[in-house]
Amino acid sequence: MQTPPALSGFILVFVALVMTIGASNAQTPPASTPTTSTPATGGAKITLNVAPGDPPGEWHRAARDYANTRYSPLDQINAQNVANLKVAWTFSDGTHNGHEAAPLVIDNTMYLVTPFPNVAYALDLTKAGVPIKWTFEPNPAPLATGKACCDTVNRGGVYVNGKIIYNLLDDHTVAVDAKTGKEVWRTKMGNVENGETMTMAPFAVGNKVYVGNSGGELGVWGYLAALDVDTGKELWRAYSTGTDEQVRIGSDFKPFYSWMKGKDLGKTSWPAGMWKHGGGAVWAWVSYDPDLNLIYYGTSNPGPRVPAQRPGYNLWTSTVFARDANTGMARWAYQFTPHDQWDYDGVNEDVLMDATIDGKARKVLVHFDRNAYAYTIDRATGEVLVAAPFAYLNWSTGIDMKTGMPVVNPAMEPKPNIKLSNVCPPDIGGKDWQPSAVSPRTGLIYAGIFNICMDVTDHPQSYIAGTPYDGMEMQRHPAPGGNWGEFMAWNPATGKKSWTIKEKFMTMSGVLATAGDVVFYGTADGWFRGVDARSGKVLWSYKLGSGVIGQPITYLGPDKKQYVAVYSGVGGAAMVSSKMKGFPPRGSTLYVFSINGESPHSAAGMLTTEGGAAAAEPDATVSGRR
Amino acid sequence: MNIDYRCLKQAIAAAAALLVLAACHPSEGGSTAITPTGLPSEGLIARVPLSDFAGIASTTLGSTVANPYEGQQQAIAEGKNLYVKLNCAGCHLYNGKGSMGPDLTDSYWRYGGTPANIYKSIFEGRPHGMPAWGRALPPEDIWKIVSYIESLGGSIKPDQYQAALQGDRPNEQIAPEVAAAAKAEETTAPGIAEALKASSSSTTAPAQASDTQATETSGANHAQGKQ
Amino acid sequence: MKSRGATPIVAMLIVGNAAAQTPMSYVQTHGPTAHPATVLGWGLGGVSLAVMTIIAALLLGAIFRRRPRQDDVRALAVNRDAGGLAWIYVGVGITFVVLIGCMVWTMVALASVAHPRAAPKLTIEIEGNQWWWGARYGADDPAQIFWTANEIHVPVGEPVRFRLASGDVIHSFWVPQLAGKTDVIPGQTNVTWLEADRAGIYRGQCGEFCGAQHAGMALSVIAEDASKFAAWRAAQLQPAPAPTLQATREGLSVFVARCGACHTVRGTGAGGMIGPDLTHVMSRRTIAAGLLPNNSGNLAGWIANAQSLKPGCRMPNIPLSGPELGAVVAYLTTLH
Repeated sequence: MQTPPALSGFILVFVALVMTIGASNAQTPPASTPTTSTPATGGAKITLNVAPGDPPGEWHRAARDYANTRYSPLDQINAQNVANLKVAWTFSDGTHNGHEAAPLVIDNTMYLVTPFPNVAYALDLTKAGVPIKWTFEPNPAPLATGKACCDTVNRGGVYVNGKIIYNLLDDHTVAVDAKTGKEVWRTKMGNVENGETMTMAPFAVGNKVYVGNSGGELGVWGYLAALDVDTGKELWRAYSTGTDEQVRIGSDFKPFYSWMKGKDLGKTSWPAGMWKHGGGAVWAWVSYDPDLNLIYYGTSNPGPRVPAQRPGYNLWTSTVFARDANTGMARWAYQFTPHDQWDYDGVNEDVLMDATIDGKARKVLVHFDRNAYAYTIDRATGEVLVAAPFAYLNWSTGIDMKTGMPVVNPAMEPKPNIKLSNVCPPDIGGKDWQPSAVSPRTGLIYAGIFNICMDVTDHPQSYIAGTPYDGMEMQRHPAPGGNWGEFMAWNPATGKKSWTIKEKFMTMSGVLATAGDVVFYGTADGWFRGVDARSGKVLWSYKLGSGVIGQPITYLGPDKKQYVAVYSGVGGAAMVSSKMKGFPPRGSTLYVFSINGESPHSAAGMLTTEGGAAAAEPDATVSGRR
Repeated sequence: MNIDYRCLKQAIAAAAALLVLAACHPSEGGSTAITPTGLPSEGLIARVPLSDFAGIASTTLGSTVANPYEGQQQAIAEGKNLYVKLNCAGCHLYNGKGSMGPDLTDSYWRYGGTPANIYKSIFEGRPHGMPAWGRALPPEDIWKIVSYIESLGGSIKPDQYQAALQGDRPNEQIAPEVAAAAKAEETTAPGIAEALKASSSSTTAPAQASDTQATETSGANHAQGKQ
Repeated sequence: MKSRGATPIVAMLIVGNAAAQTPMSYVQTHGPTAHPATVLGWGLGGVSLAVMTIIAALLLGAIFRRRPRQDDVRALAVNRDAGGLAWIYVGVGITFVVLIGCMVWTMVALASVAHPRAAPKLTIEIEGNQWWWGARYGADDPAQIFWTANEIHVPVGEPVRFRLASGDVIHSFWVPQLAGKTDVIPGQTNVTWLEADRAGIYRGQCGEFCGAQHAGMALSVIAEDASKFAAWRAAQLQPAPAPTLQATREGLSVFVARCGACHTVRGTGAGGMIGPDLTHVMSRRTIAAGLLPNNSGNLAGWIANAQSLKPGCRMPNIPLSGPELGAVVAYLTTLH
């Protein structure tokens, strides 16, 4: 029987209405724009979902997209012309501590967040001289500078709903109107006197922004919280230790492996009371799968950093969580390093992709952990599909793929007050927070990694709020080979390196991958390099004023030309190598590159700056020698 | 087990004192709160300023407030034990070179590097995250930690308090006018006078207009001993 | 093994009162860790006494035996077969048997005190510090792990393993009525075990000179039946109760500010490990490592002037005002 046209029209409208009403109660999954690939030699067959599909010439969030690919579709700059990159313009933000942030570009405006005192700048890319549109000085508490374990850094903001949202070191999240630079809301998330700080770049999906704290070395109670983007109200908070209710574990929780199954494990896998100061801070990256509606993020090391004080698996530290993006209830979790004894945080980025592994198409996340294993994990279930070492390690002899447990080398387990030499990797891991980038064109994921070992002596520690709850005395030195750093291309399906570049200094910058088949990274002594994404040949190197530990981005200027921008300003955990000969001083400069350095900001004739606002006052920005 | 009657008598006396005090301060409702706001009295050290005195004048303050455990090996060992056990090593590192907190082995001291200054920094705390320990630790423990920090080699000798304020180094030259000004103000600062005798050359500038002396800095003090 | 001569006789006479008057007496012991050795000691003492008696008797006999007249030529010893060799053979034979027997007995006793019959289910990690004892109760389940100090409870009739570590210098872990001394040596972990075969309070003492207050470093091992032990253990696992009265709230606040850098009370912000864990301090019979009975008067005196009670100890005199001291003691006395 044929449906009368009016009726089918009515049905269509009715169904559309129902769907709209249904969608409004949930995250509206943005249109996913999969990008398929032709794998390079040594590359995997992968597909990326680059939702939310921000304009290719803009950069709205630190990791480029929900999947944390850091892959730009721009290709004006490519393997053939990257050698002609020159400085187009620079901007010094006046602060001296480690510059780890990613610049953002929206609507021909560049947004920068500085290290403490966390000033935000909006720069007008349309006008000559890139004048400051507005300056936002939040004036965070100086007390926070003494509670940050690893320099007073900030990893950047996120642009969402016309606001730039970022975290202050003193445990406040602020939202600033992107057009006017006025504060829209500010939420206190923690008490800096407890030793908690905030350094991570918030991650936004729909009307929620996710933030977490830092302080695994100060015995904080780690958490990830969701705030409403428009009001700043906290919607829920999932702690990383404690009861199932505190960790937001419910009946939907289905961990793949056995030691994560049970009740209140975030409490019972610790000696009496120790979960409360157990760390598990969430200080790095979050990713999101719009189809599964799950967010993924990792937790820090357990506290104190003396494992003898805390027998047990110490859940849920050094763990990756998959949580429902709306409610925050956990779907699955996997602990990379149960009963961590070496400060192997689980916070590194989880890059989402669809990959063909052993002939089967799988939805996976790829994670280079501090413990020097690279994991490819089924992101729907938490099953570990691939776990292979990417850096020199001796703490473990392998991962038992049946149980999911690493097999620990007993000789590398530190005992209190006894010096243990040549433990590899060191506390900062085979790779730290510096994020990787993936290219669907080559099927490779690119990362700056370390080649470092440590001598460690554990000293049992008291818990005194606001002071370190730490206890690891360390001396770090390079692993065999003598190089501190390395930049590599990795096949996530096979768990093998495709090519690698050894670096004398630490490679602690983020990575940028582009459709021009060039990948960019920087070194701690200040080299910024463009590398052929397929062959690993270094096509271009440029020496910046200070070391590079920031996240490079690329964008289209108002002139529709492609630019690459990166901060130079060494600090952060790269300071562990600061006694190396040639280690640079601190810096504060953003560098923007273009082909031949061409830009509207450099020409013959009298160009002048039409400023909208003055920079932050000197005393607000200069942190001075501590 | 023997009963120590001396202990018992003291305990009874303490308990009696307690009862008397308890009677004066009823324990429930309406009494003045004795939540431990504030630091206990710092004693003589409170007189040492964080910066230099207004109206430049010489002072021996840095050397008059001395470390009672100066140079005692036992105190240094106990201070090192406290330095580790109280988490100082977490910020200043086990070798004192600093990461979250500053380097304690070099000669840069933002808040002063004589034993009295270091004591104050520990007791009072400092704005960029150094906690105030004056409530948690009795003075002897803080002095022991000061002794340990002194043993790391970067601290300033007490009699070089003012020289350190002025950025002086041993073996530096002093312009004759400056030396003369200091000599003129030596009356209240024996340390300075002796230092000048030890280090100044035979040529001293003729007495310049003495009305400018008061506005000149009171001279370099670089006595024997390291900076 | 020392021979104690006449002491065993004296001890035997007053054995009825020994335990009460002399808790450090190692003459009367309980439990398979010490008992075989004690019995061995008594036994060897008895054997020594018997041997001594027999030989003394023989000697006296030999000295005072009537001797034949000198002019009786036929009585000269050189012409007469006195049969002395037999004495030697017999004597050596008896001695040999007795000594072998004692050796075997000794080795059996040593073997039996070296290891418990069955693997101990409970392991306690002891940390000897100048001049107090820290104890961490271990378990397979990490949530059952907790700390206490100076007063250790063990279940009756079960062997308990002790792992001994030092926080500073050499100490010695000695509970005379339950076991011999085992040194606590910095840089290594010595392992010993105890088993109490009947309920009671057993006093221990540091057995290796370790500084000014070596004599003030006592501990108690309290053996109780399984259900009482389980109840005690469950209570120790609880965090400190939250204070409810204003005085005890103030006391908690003073405690965290003035005492928390060195002492832990689980459930509060006080997490120091320089001094003993005080989470359940009122569950202990004494304070200051056995020095003082545990009551509020002694607590106050200890906090105010520890140096006069136990000179040289690591607890400094804490200059609290009267109301502060009262509040802290009021809070501490809620920590059962």
